[in-house]
Amino acid sequence: MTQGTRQDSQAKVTDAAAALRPFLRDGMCVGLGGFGLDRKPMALVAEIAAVPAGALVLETFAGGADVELLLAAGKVARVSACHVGLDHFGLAPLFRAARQSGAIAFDEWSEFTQLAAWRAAAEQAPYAVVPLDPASDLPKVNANIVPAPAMFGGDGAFAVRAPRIDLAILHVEAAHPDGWALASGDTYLDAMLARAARRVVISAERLIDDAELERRHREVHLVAATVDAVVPAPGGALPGSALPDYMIDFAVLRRYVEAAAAGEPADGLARIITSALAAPAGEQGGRA
Amino acid sequence: MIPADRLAWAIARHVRELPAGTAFTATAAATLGVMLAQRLAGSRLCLWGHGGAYDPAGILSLHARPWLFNRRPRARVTLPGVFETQSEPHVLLATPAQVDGAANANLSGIGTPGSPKVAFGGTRGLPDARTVFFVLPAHTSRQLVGRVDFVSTCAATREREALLFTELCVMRWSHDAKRWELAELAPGCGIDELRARTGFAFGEPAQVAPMAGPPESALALLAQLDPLGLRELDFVADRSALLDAFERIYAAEAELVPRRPEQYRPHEGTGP
Repeated sequence: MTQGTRQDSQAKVTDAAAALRPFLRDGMCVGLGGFGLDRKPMALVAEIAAVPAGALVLETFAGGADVELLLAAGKVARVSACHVGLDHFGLAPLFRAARQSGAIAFDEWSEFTQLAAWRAAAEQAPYAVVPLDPASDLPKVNANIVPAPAMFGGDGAFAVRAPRIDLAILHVEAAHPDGWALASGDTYLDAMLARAARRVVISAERLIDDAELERRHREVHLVAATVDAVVPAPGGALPGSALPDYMIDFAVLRRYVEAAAAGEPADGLARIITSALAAPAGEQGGRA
Repeated sequence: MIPADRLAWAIARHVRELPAGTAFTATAAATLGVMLAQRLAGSRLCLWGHGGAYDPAGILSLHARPWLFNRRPRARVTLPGVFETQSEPHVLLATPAQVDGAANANLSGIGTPGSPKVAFGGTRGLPDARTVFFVLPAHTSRQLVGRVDFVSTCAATREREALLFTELCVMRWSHDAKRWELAELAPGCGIDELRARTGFAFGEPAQVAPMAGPPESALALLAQLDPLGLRELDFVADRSALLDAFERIYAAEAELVPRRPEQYRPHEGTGP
């Protein structure tokens, strides 16, 4: 989060509608945290899918059901990612179809070039310079990757443009009302994304108090100053996983890929994904 | 012995000499190959990958994939941390959608770049690793093609010669000949069959070593590390059968995996 005046701590705890709806605009760039099917902010994504704003640009390191749901809702004009897929469930069917039909633009990155672009955004730099396999076709399909001038005698480097990310949404294991957040396991690029975005909304499996924050302070990956709003959302990453709290909802994801293969319309596919969020806690097929 | 066992052992034999560094893996066979090299040959490679992660029970698992554990971590290396160490030796055991006769790999799509006729998921980290080996478990001309339409990366640009592992063979990229050279051939596979199932021409030395199967010690370790059979999933072509297998494995894992979060945390990190 790079601008604005922070509110007092209790005011950061709110619901998804209040955290998102006043700020959503056509064409804005939304950063999606998590990785693949893990710790994706699905409850917040579902809220975005339900508002009128559209033509969104999605920035995500590795997209999954989050990108699929927003595509199903017709909200996406462009995806900027190094990969979008459903892990061992295979390719993401709506993303694939949208690329093939030309319905969306796709800014394709490698993992390191996208990471470097996000890092530049987090540091408020206009671009970064990175090495890239000179044989790669990525610069042909992504105008944000261009050969860098040889300033100090070398060449073969590429400049990557820092994205302007209007809003980042992230899911965490636990959050303090002040905005401190922690997640066990790999935190992927979430902290970098939070620093790169102008507004940051996190959903949390649960809220923690001062005592637990002090006890687990080494696990904090998002500092309060980078978080604008905290939305309590138990099960908020389903049908993806949020370990150690739960694994993926296998039944929902299987139903999704099978329905997509059978030609289910987009609104039906969206309902399948959001059915995982609607299920009462403990009834998801993949709960650990 | 199943084909996946031979594949994992071939990978183990070839990665064991690599210098200490990080290994990314994209398939269960590749993950197991690195684990065999660690346990049986003293490899100092550290695993980080999506091809099945260690869980607290010490086995390959599906559900714990986002938690990329090792049992005896040397350090906690996060995803950004992996790339921040990319100047250090590390190897990507990648499984792209296609590999061609010029060592190009494609994870983007078929057709015109930017407007593919068949779209894949995206290039991921293919261009980013210092050393790239390809693991394509099922040897087929659908994946081993004459020329890819999109170059996600070209392994021939790397200093270390690339390797290509399949169920049928090991090929080594020759910087001198600028082509894949057959290095090992699985027993029971003739050269004619290999040519028929490969979409590009490759070098055929007069003497080709057999692609050896794993010894008893390795077979026992494979059974211990992968009791649920994730490595066999790489060879299941039927979509419905694959989903059935996933479902069976998820159910089995639910019986094996500790539920309390504190049982996970001591194992975070990356290390052999």
